Amino acid sequence: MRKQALLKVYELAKKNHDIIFIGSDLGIGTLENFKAEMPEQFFMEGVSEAHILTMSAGMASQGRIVFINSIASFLLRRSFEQFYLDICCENKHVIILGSGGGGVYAPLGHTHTIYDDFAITHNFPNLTTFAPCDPVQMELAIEYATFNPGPYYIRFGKGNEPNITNDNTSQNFITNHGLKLQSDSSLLFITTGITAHIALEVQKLLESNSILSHIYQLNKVKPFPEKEIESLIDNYQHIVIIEEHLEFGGIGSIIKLLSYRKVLHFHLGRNLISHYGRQNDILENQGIDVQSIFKSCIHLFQKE
Amino acid sequence: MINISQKSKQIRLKSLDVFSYANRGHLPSAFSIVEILVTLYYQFMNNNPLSVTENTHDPIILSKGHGCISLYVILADLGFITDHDLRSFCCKDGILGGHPTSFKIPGVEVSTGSLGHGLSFATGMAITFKQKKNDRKVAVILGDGECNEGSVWEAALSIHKHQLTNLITIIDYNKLQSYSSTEEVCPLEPFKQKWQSFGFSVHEVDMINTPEQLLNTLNQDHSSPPLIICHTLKGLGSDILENNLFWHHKNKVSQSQIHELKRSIR
Repeated sequence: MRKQALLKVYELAKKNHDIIFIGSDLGIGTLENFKAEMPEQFFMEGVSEAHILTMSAGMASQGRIVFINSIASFLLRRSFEQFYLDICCENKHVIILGSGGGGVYAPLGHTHTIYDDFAITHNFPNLTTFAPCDPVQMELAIEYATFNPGPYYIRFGKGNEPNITNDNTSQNFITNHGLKLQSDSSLLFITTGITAHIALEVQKLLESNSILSHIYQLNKVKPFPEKEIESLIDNYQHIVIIEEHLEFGGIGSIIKLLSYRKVLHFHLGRNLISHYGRQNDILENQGIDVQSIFKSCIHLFQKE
Repeated sequence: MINISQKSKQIRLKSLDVFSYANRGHLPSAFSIVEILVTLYYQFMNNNPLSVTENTHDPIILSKGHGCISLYVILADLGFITDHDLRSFCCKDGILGGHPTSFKIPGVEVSTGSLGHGLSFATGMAITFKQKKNDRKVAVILGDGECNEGSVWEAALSIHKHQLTNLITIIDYNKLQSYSSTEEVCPLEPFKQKWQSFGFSVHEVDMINTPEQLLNTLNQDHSSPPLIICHTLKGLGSDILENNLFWHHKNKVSQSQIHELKRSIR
């Protein structure tokens, strides 16, 4: 998937000279033709991920569209603050291509794997996150990111994934959409990234046991399509979520939260809070104050 | 031609007003950079509301964002922001806070506050200016304590690699950081040689006695990326604040103390 992704960036860069590619210290020969044909658009900047991310924000402030590729764990964990502050809060057109999302580098150990990337980036303002399941979705994601300014994180799969979507597929899709399920035993898989392939295998096995199912695959993980998901899950008796991510902070924990409606949740919202003022001003502005919470609690009992 | 001493005194007095509106802020860190800011904004860089609107300006990045009070006063003086904005310093409906936010304040290129970011951001700008054959330049003001950050030295490697002579790095070497002296917390010396070894053309200016020398230094031609170590004092220009660590985080200051501070401005 990485190979196709970098090829796509190369093709786009040929058409738009504001497109810049930056690597840290990637493998020999990476994008050799890109470097030879467009040397001004190609950067290999050394093992300095934190610097590279902020530098890319500076380039983007002057009209560049910057693609950065390195191992996802270094780009997200080591450079967390640079990604958050300089790219996302500043809303710069920088696209992070994270190699080895999930356990691609499991043989190399925990320093190189990243099973919590959705959780890490979930509250990054302005950020769009993609987790393609195959090369077709990867190309869709890169094209979308190129033509819609803003910050992006794209999680790469392990490579050599067969295409399970086609060129006409929208970002998120449902397999067997037209297939009518029995209402009393309907089952929906919700998945993202490479676990779509596992869902498909399970679906086939279930089908041989006369159990029919649909699969909802998210390419775009953030912003989370919660309205779509909410209306979907109401239509199925059973929901199975599969993701290559730790339990908390991934798509599963969001969907579980959406499904559990008894909870009144007072929180600080979803967007960047950049107001000045005192701490209490911020809390009150977001409805976290005694009177607001008291009124909401009373309302619960009045309804009953 | 502007008189640096007079202008700096005016900026410091107004900074005290701004501090008093919120009764908070990093006054000594703002005072140590006044002459640097005055030289950049009024004498050397093309940076005013018109040039910023036309995007032909020379960006100035205050990487040590906590010194922002004097920056705000200059932005108001130049017409980027209003006196009303200054009066709302740190208020919930104001645009000016204890660290500058780019998407609120006209004239601020990038939000700063967390240290060690400004030099990398400027690197990206300078590379782009150079590639686009644009003769714009970018200046970054770093704190000395900020040079403890590894990302500063990552940026230094990169600036040397790309030979960014259009990026001017200025260090406010006041020799005090939050807890104590730079010498005690994390020694920087031999500071000049460190930067030289990274490939910079390093200059030193005594901002306490001869601040006008900064402009002369800036006007020199540089064959390698320029870096100017400005020898300053924390709280420079005020007999009460100078070299007084007690004031670094001081807030809740009475009006009589503000008057005393105003009288202490040279």
